[in-house]
Amino acid sequence: MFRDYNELEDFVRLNQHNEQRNCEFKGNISWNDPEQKHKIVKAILSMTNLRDGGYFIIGVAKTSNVDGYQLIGVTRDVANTYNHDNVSALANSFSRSNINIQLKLFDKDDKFFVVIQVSEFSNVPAICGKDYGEILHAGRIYGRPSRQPESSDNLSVEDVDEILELAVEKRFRRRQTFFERVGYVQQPPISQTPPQPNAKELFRQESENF
Amino acid sequence: MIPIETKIFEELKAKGYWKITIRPTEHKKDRLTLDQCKMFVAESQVKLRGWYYPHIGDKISNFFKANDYAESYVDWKDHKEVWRMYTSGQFVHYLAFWEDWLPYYRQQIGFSTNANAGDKVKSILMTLYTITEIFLFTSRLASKKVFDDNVQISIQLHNVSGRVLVVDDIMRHLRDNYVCMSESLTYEKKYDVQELIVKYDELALDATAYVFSMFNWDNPDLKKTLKLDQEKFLKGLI
Repeated sequence: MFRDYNELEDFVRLNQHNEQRNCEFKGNISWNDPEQKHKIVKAILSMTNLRDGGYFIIGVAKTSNVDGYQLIGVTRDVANTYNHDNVSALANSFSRSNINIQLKLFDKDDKFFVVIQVSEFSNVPAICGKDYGEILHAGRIYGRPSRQPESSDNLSVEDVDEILELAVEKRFRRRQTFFERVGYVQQPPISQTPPQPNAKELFRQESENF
Repeated sequence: MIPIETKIFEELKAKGYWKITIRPTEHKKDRLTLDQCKMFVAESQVKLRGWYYPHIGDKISNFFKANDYAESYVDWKDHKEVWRMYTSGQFVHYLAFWEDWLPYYRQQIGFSTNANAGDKVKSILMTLYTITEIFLFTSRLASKKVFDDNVQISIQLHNVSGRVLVVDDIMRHLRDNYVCMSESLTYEKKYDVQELIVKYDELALDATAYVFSMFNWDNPDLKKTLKLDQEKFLKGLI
């Protein structure tokens, strides 16, 4: 999570001209708006299925094509509609597995910002557990497609592969940790190739002017 | 070296900085294509904080390809770093200590140690996070088969003589002043890639504990304490 407003400002400036897969900006939206809050839940379900998770930031909007995204802020009243427990509870009520989020408010010159940091899933990808109108559908997996930074269930083969790879990595790490705990240690394979005698020198020469 | 690189190096080396080298144990000149050099770094980039490890050039900073490497550099506000990924699979990264450029850290000294306002400092949590990012990044590269069976990681910290460890949290206090007496320090080790992929977090804790021991902080429970902070960091809960 950003330490202070300056770090938030740096992050927005770095992504000023295009939202990335791991960040989504929204202008003046209140958690009291039922449609908007379920769109936020959809973004959370999508970002938790992304490597390293992502940020959902309220109070940042595209002011023009030239200026890109700017920190416009929201009012104190709108910012106060958000709190960690409500956002986390609603997101988790729509997910069949546990989702971790952090929520933090920032302010600068009477402008307020809400940052929701979504953690990458812990064990298994998030699957939507129930319907909400046209926004959320039970049984679907949401993600952040690589072709366009949006929250969607219309994922490409590569996007699905990425989510599966993430899940397999976690399973692999869990399995290895379990084996170690019960005393079964797999020895690393013995390399068939003899060590290159001058490798260190070759690497040194390669980067000696750097 | 291009002029902007020279300027960044001058600034970076005037204060504290990291030099990180990650490489296979066997030198094969054309292990990667130039496109793969950027692609693998981008796909392995660690995005657990607002500033990613490593930073990849865009409009604010920059990125280019040369004969046998892809390079990215940034000199923006408090961020100064340069990295190269060679087609041999060797990754070399220079990174300024944020502590020396962020005004934030100057305010922390009084809370956490008996250090004086002018002292050079090294943040405990920032160090833990950076080393964890290095190991996680390497494990991701290893998953993409950038290395063979083994990978060599070297982490160097420069201009650390007289530097004092500080804690970033005003609710925490260090009992004593932990000061590094060496001008620079190096942690270098060869890893089996399978072990690294599974245990990058534990291996990062070993490296972090070594770095802190060079600041004369030898606490038998240190890794246990750091593990809790590392877990929060890896879950994006900091």
